[in-house]
Amino acid sequence: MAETRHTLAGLRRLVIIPAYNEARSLPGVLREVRAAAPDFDVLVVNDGSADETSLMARSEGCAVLDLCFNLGIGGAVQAGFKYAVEGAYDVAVQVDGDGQHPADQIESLSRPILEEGVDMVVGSRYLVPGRYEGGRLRRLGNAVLSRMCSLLSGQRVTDSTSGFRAFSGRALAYLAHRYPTDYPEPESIVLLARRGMRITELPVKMGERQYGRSSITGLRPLYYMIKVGLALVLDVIKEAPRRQEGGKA
Amino acid sequence: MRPISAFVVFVAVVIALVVVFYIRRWRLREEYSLLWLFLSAALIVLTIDQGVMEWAADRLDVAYSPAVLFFLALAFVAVMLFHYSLEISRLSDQNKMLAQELGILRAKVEVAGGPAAPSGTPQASEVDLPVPDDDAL
Repeated sequence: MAETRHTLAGLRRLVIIPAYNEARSLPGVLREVRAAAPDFDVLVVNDGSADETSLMARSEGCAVLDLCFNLGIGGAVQAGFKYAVEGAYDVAVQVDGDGQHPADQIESLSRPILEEGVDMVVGSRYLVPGRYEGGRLRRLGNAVLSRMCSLLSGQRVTDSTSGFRAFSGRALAYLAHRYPTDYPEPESIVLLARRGMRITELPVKMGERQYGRSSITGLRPLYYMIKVGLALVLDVIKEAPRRQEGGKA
Repeated sequence: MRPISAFVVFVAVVIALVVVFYIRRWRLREEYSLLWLFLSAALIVLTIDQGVMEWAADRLDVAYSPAVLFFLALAFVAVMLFHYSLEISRLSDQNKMLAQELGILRAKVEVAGGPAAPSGTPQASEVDLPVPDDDAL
């Protein structure tokens, strides 16, 4: 459809890469993103890294938000959302800085948003045939949280903890105001769904991270599950944000 | 005056002095200073005039009047703690917003052609400006 392509051409697209001490993996990730998604601007949110993350991102020529201290994944990604809202982007795709997320799926993740009016697309590890590797406790935690998200959002969710996702301008505007701090992924599904936004999932094959280790190891999946599970229940009783809150952004 | 009463009055006066000390140093905000000064005054009144406690216990139908005091003290502590939880939540939210805004503004300044020093390298403002002395204020 030539007409669709024409109207889509002028849309503003952004890749948001939250990075905390990812100087080693970042150059590779950025090059892959550039090659796979040339229509996208790239923003690296340097979440108060102690290493050369900021320099690496700059030397690759992309926009960098330097946070003056470590805010954690929620605060860092939200800073990216605020940047996207100020830049009036139509779609933003969140990609981890550690190379786990396949850059060649950035386009396909953003397509439902640009063409079908979906508000958030989650790249799901559990929709691909074959089992995603990872500890038993992690898989259990994800399964429980995803079930809770499905229940509370009324939409089918298989991978609530995936951080590889695309957002519409509408979703960005909302999340720039309200985004959970600690483990934001499952909660944001419920928050958006309760605002009447449409969420879909696409199968995504994720790789191993190149450097560093997951922060969620040992018994932590259990803690994560309980904490986020409680937060999900609490989200149900939270009021819609009032207009004046959250400053001008 | 019983020794214990004298001791409690002494403690209350010390509390008041500490509060006044921090107010003078600009390190305690008014609403808190008033609260703690009020606590100190309440301690003194309740110690000197035991009738107040007995009257309250009588109205509340409590046989052992110090129990009322324990209850009030616990309630005070619980309310204060909850208040601090609220305050901490608010402050950390605002803190987060500031860091985000600062990051965005810094990126904008760089695009506009300002000095582009990546974080981690000392900036002019951090090196040259004299640091104001807290006590000098």
